[in-house]
Parts: sequence; C-alpha cells; structure tokens
Amino acid sequence: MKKPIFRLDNGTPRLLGTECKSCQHRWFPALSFGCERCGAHGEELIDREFNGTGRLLSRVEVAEETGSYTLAMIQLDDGPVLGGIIEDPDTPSAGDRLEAFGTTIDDKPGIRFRRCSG
Amino acid sequence: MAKTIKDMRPVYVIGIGLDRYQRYSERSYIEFGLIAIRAALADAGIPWPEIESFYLGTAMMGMGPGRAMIKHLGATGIPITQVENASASGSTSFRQACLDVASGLTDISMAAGVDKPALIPRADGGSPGDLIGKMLAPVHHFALLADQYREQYGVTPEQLAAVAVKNHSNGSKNPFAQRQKIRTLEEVMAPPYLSGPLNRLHCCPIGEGAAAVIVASEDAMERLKLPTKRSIRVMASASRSERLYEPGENWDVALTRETTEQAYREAGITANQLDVVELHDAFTIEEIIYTEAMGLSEEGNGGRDIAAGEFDIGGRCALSPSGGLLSMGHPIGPTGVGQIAEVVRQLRGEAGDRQQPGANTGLTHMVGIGAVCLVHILQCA
Ligand SMILES: [Zn+2]
Repeated sequence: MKKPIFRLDNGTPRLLGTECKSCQHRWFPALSFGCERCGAHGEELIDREFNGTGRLLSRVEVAEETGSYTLAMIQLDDGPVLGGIIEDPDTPSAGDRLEAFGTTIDDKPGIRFRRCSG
Repeated sequence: MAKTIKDMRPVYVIGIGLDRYQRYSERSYIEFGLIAIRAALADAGIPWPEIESFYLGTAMMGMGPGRAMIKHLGATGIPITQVENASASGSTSFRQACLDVASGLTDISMAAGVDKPALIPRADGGSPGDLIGKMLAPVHHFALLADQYREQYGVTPEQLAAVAVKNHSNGSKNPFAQRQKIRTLEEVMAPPYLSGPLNRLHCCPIGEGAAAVIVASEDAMERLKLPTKRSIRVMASASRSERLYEPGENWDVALTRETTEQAYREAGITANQLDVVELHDAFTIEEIIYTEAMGLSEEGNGGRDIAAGEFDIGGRCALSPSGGLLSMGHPIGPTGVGQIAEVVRQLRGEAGDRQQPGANTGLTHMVGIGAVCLVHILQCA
C-alpha cells in the first residue's frame, strides 16, 4: 500500500514530507532512508507537513487524447520543489503565487494548484 | 595521490565500428552486435584474439548478454564485463576499456554497446499523477526546463527548433543514423506536441543498434605496426554523479558543467579549442543548456548561437555532427560508444560530407538518468 502524500486539514492540503534535524534539509514526498544533504538517518529524520503554497517556476501545456492540462514545477514556501497540475481559468506565469487545493480525481481525493486567492 | 587518465600510459582509439541505429526489429542483438564488432576489428586491422578485455554497455538486455554474443568470434577466455549506467552505459564501458589500457592491465581492449530497448515506455511517458515528486517523464522534465529557460533568457521557439533542424541535417549525411531525413523549421514547430512546444522531432528516437571501439597502448601499436595518423589519443575521462544542488539551481546544467570542467583540466585544454562535440541532445533544449554549461556559448546565448549557425559543420565548432541523439538516435547502450566513433572519424578526417574542416580536438558527453555524467576528450595524436 502506497503511503499517502497529502492530507486535507479542514479542506486545506498539507503535503507530507520529511525534515532532517541535523541540517534542516526538507524533501517531498516523505522518505526515511537518509538525508541527501548530510547523510543523517534514523531518528534524525522527522515527518513534516508542508503548506501547499509556493511560487511557480515553470509550466507547460500537455495535450493528451483524454484532454489537455497544465503541468508545473512549483517551489514551495517550505522548501521542496515539486511537480503538479494547475487548474485555473487564467494560466499563471512564472513567479506567480500558487496554492494547492483539494479536489476529486478519478473518484479519489487529489490535489491541484491555482493562483493564490488572497 | 590520485591520478587522471593522462598521468597513466597513453591510450589511443585504433578502431571504430557501427551498425545503423534503427527501429525495433526481429533481429537478434547478437547479429547486429557482431556487425559493429567485426567492423571495428576490420577498421583497426587486427584479429579478435588481440582483444584482451571486453566491456559491453547495455541497459535493457537483462543478465549477461556479452558472452553469448562474442563467443561467435571465437571464445578466447578474456574478461567480459557488462556495464549498466543508464544512457551513459556505453560511455562508461569506453571509460573502463581505457582504464584497462592506461593502467597497464591490458594492451588492447574493446568497448561496445548493444541494446534492443523498444519495450521501455515511450518518451511521452504518460499522464502524471495527482501530485508528483521531482521525477517526471523526461519529455515533461525537459519541456518544463525549456519554459524555465525561456523565462530567464527569452529563447524563441524558432531557436529551440533550430537545434533539431541542424541535427537532422547532419544526420541526413550519416549512413548510421536512424533518422536520415532533412527537416524544416516548419516541420519541427508543427503540432502535435508531446509537451509544451516539443513535438516528436524535438525528442530523440529510441531504437536498437550497436557500436564498438578498440583502444590500445603505444606498445601494442608499435608491435602491430598500426598507422599513428589514424590513431586518436584519449586525453581525458571524467565521470561524475549529481550532488545536492541549491533549490532553483538547474542540476542538469550544474552536473554537466562540473564534469566538463574536470575533463578540460585533465586534458589541459579550454572550450574554445574544441572542433567537434557530440553531446546528449535527447531533447532540443538540452543542446542549448549544455552548450552553455560547456563554455561554448555565454550563458543565455546558446539558442541564439546555434540558430545563427555557429555550431553547424563548418562553423566554429561542429555540435552533434553525427546528427546527435535527435537524429542519429539513442539506442541507450550503444549511444556513448557511437559518439566516440563519430569524434574519431572526424579527427581522422574521414567523415566525408559531414567533415568538420581541420578537426583536431573533440569532446563526447552523455548524461544518464539516476543521474550521472561522462565526458571524454580526444585529440589527434
Ligand atoms: Zn541532513
């Protein structure tokens, strides 16, 4: 069974990752084998929940038979860089503030990104 | 004190052989692997029993495909090693063969590459999940990188497409290339797109093929009376893997820059001495960013310089004169060995109508997912 990579906190996505206590390096998704920066492992690695807010680094339109979508690389405010799908009527551009939101994908809870509302 | 390959015995490439890269077929890898190996032996003018060790770059063939192939040359009992290092498998097999000769373990060694990788997922990868970590299908990764580069430096879609136009034009002159068709800017920019502005001509074809090269010491060349003017010296062999880079830093660029700088130091040359370069242009944007990482273009100018023809055959440095991965193809295991074969052919002055005039110094570059980078520098003896 795959570990969940996010949870919804009253509808607000929290991304489940890891932080190294030795060097404060953070990564997503959670992996407890060892720290890529300093090699610390075991109890030095702790579960961390990251906010779904960040900044758009790059984006591309991907057209597939089932429809098209906007794929993006996002720099989270909490550190890690990750890929995600943008659902926003106005496609954001690089540097724009983004936030994750919970949605339903193939009858299962999922996450998409959009421009920050606030 | 650790040594570089140049501190050890000189190593020379004395033979090259290829079988044309092509789409997946029903042929056995043994059949076309032997074609490349026998071509390399014929090119060097030596018989198989002279080979003292054998390295086979292969990533998709499963366990131990080497002996089942080379036994058909007459089983001489030499050491055989399969080398798997993703897209850099062939480059790594070449490095291992060079190290055997440089260290004095052998006088003559062979590096080959063979693969039938058509069963791996296509470059377009498939749909990403709900939310993904840093690993993306390569075509999406490089389309995103192209977008990031466009934001930073303003590369135009035409400049991106110019890479594919140049490399398909070079490949049209290469009898070993999988794609031998000249492509126009319009074709390279036309839909359907796999990701962002990238259609299939921005992405390398992954097929099957084989390549082989023979390396030798000066002792062996004297004993066998091999012509020195067709022998090409291996000046540097640099092999690195990814470090952890700062957030936002382009790690594709950083890894190539570090590995290339190490190779320049080993060889004692600078970027402006390069006449031919075979680099890992699996996607068009890669040629632009690696051109800058190697110091051939100023940061942000790679796309403009390529589009201006500076890296055409006959320009200041021929980039991917074989057609590169984009046109010659990327059968995985053979690719890095095929790059060595192309640079050797160029430095010998035997590249026919894709010859870079006066070529004296060349560089090969492969990256492998995982992620590793290998750079070799070769020079006329
Ligand atoms: Zn750490």
